[in-house]
Amino acid sequence: MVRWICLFLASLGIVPLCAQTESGKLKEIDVDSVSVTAHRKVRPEVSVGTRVSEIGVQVLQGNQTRSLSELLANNSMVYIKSMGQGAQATSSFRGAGSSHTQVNWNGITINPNMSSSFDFSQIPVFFADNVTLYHGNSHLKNGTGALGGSINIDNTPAWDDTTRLRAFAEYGSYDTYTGAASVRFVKQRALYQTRLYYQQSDNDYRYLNKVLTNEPFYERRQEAQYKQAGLMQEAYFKVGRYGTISNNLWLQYGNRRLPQPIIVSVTQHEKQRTLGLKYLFDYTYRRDRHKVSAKAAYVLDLLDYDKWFDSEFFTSHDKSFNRSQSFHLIGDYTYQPSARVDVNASMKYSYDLVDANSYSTARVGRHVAVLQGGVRWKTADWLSLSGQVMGEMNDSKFAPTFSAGASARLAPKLSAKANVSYNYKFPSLNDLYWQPGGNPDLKPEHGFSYDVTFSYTPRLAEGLYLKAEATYYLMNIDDWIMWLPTQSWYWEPRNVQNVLSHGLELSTETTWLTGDWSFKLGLSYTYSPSINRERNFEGDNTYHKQLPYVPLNKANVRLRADFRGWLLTYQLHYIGVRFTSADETYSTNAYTIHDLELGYDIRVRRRYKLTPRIRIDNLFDAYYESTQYYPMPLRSISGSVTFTF
Amino acid sequence: MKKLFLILLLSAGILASCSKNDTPDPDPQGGDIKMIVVNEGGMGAGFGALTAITYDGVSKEDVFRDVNGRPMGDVAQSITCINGKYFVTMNNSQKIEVVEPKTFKSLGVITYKQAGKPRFVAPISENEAIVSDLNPQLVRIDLNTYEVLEYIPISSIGAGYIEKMIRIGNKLFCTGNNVIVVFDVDNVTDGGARTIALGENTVRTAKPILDKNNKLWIMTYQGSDFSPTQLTLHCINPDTETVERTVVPQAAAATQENVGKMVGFPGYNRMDTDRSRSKIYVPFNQMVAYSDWGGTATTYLAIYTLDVDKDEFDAEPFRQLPGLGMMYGMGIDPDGQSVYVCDCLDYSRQRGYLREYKADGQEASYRVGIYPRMVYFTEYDN
Repeated sequence: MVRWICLFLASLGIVPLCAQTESGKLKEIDVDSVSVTAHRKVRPEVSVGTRVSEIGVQVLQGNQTRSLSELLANNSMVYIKSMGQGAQATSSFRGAGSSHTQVNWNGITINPNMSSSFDFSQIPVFFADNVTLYHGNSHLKNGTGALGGSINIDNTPAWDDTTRLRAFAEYGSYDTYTGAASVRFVKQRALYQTRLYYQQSDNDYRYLNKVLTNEPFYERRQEAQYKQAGLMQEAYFKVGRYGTISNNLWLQYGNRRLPQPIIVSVTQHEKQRTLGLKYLFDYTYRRDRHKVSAKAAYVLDLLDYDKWFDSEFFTSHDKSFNRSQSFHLIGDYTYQPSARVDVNASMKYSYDLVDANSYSTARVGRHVAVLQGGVRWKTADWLSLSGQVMGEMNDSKFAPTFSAGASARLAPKLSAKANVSYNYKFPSLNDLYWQPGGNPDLKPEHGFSYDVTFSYTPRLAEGLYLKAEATYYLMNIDDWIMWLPTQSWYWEPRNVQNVLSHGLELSTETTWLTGDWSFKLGLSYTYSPSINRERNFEGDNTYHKQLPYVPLNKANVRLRADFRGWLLTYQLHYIGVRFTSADETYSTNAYTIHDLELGYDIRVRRRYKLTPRIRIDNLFDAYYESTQYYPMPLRSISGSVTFTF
Repeated sequence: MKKLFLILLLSAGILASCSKNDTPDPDPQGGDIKMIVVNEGGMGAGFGALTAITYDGVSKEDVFRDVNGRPMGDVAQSITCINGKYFVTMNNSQKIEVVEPKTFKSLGVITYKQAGKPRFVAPISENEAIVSDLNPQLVRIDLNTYEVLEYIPISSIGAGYIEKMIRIGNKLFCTGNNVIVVFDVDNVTDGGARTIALGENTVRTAKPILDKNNKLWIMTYQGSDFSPTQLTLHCINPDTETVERTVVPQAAAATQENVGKMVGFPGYNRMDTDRSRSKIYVPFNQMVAYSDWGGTATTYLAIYTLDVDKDEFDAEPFRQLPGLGMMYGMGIDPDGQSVYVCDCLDYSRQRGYLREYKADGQEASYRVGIYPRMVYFTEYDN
């Protein structure tokens, strides 16, 4: 037993790689030094027609004290509906619903299997090395359910990076403390990395409440305090000439109050404690034209909820506890029979297991098996084609799907790609089993999706570069699930709406390098009509109306200037009007927020770097709401120091 | 470079940090108001609204917001006119809005400092009223200063929580679990409660009715509240605080020969009366067709009437409500001619309708707010 525990901990790098001797003592194993031969790089397994956006390293590092919700809200085309800093934040990708964004961590789906809707406020950016957005549902390998798109969070071993330690501390308005550290230990054939993160905030910003009573009054945000802590342990090993083993363990703890809307006289309190554990083992073998990988993962989510009231008479607490587990096994094989062709096949098996008070049975499980095959073919120097087919067996229900794409270089700096696909999303376990109301007869939401993207990447002048992309997409989502009351007056989910979502995604990134100056200007804009395209009954006023909380317009501007270690970043975020009722009767206001950041890199003896930064969020102190009646922080200032060794 | 900065600054100026404010509609009026619909609005969304409908059929869908430039609150429950002011309970906002009739200007807000879910308001004096609650408490409020005076625990009564209330003379009659709780208006306390046993749970959505004979009518159910197997109307003498008689509507079996008859009872039922208070109007399920193939019955909601001097409902429905899905509120106009039903459509957070079923068989619809739940006639203003 001790051996197994030891091996497991060793594999994570928590203790040095060790082995048990005959005498029971532990000794270090010498890892043979083997040179790694260069081999042909296997191309990314992306459908060639898919629009893929990667959030740059500079942006990730600039947001390392923040959560993924803030990162995506300010630096991507995804709309984040937030209830405040540290509070629940869900997404709308290409006009789809919050459960239609698939979130993958190193290739493992981590959407909660109870609700499917991912809360981005609980993911520190510090734990992500890469954040990649796959727009639309065409990249089938991201799994089913990604009707709007998927967000992939990856950790990658940087074998050549000499950084050993990165640590920062930040203090911000409303008593927000953040601290984090990352320690790396690299041997010739092993890499260990430990990351720790902690943030807490009173989050009691002051604002003018104009909606509760006749006389507007200033108040401080109540019930919004939170704490977050995380630990990520990674261990990577080179095995033989061609193999690598990756171990990732991620523990994430959250303890937060759930804020009330400001139209409520606050006399109730809700507290939510969450503990997430994710473990991934990955063995990848790359040799010449072959790449084989096998993954095994375990995901555990615990949620402890407590509600109580300010009252002399009813002092009892309303409590619930849910435990959700997922087991994943993935096998994947890619083969390049020629320089122009990639063939890929994968199979996945996952088992979801939920223990919840509110389900029809104390324990609910679901088996999901997926087979996928795909091919990419570079038919000519200027043209690539791809196709993917997939079949999912979800308990006893089978759903097949496909994707086909093309990418063409139209001119030296101009390229185009297009995609057509069909995808679906099975109901969440809440939809199926919640009591009362869970509906086992629900059909999967499903629909076709089409998009076309043009990319233009000219060099405008000496040191001046442009990267521009424009996409038009169109997708149908049929049998959209909504919770509605039954004749017996309890609410149940039903396949109700057929939705048409189409729109434009425009982005540019301009880089100008001149002398010691470097400027980068990023602009992005999305136009996202997303409407109920069928009348469900006579007099249905939701017909051809924009879905609630899907903004028609969203824009981001980001300007970064670097000069001899100095850094200045200015960001502007615009979110258009969002309707809050299904018939467009009510809406919440558009807003524009400006942020500013200034930093400087201080080099000490070449090896050490100290980076003090000061950031002003919401520079012009605008009152705004991402979710109606949940005010967001007004102007806030934070200062941080990052130490890198 | 300068140009680039200029463009940025200009665009920043255009998109200046701001949040547009809704501007109040200065003139929400348009003729005399016949009725007001209370719209719940859906939990957490702040769509609680009052819809004013004039005699000439014009509907002002969210008149409070139009006039006051702010939302009324979250989950509106009821409207009660006391001393010439409307008291509108906002269940989830934990407050009561005090509204001036006709103008719909907000006169004040009574906010709770302790937990509560205000439901209905009944006056107990010139200056005070009692507010019922989804929790086992009553709340005493000041009608002039708009303050909560007292939170009154009622757990020891054993009636659960109290919803509907009616003041008769110097007594306050309240619907509890399976009893009527009676207070003297000058002693609304835990210890001052008396109870009238009904033997069945009260239908909390059905308002108590004081008839022309000064008798109190209360509805109870068997089975479950959302799918009752039997309803009973209890006639209570307010003076003696006893049940004098009961009326038990008999549902016919859903068979071919009973097409056209009453065959069942809707969940969370309502009842109302008219100006004369000589009739009680109750919705039942009427079978309009029967299919031998599979033995399925097609039913509509229909309003049946009970003459308060009789012991049986009229066999023929007073009004049929074809095409109506789920009723979320019902009212009879003071003339006893039209039936008004709150229709929430498919409950998908869109504005619903007040459906009027007229005596001549015609129907009219008025667009109201989201989740309409109660219709109030201004004729009953005091």
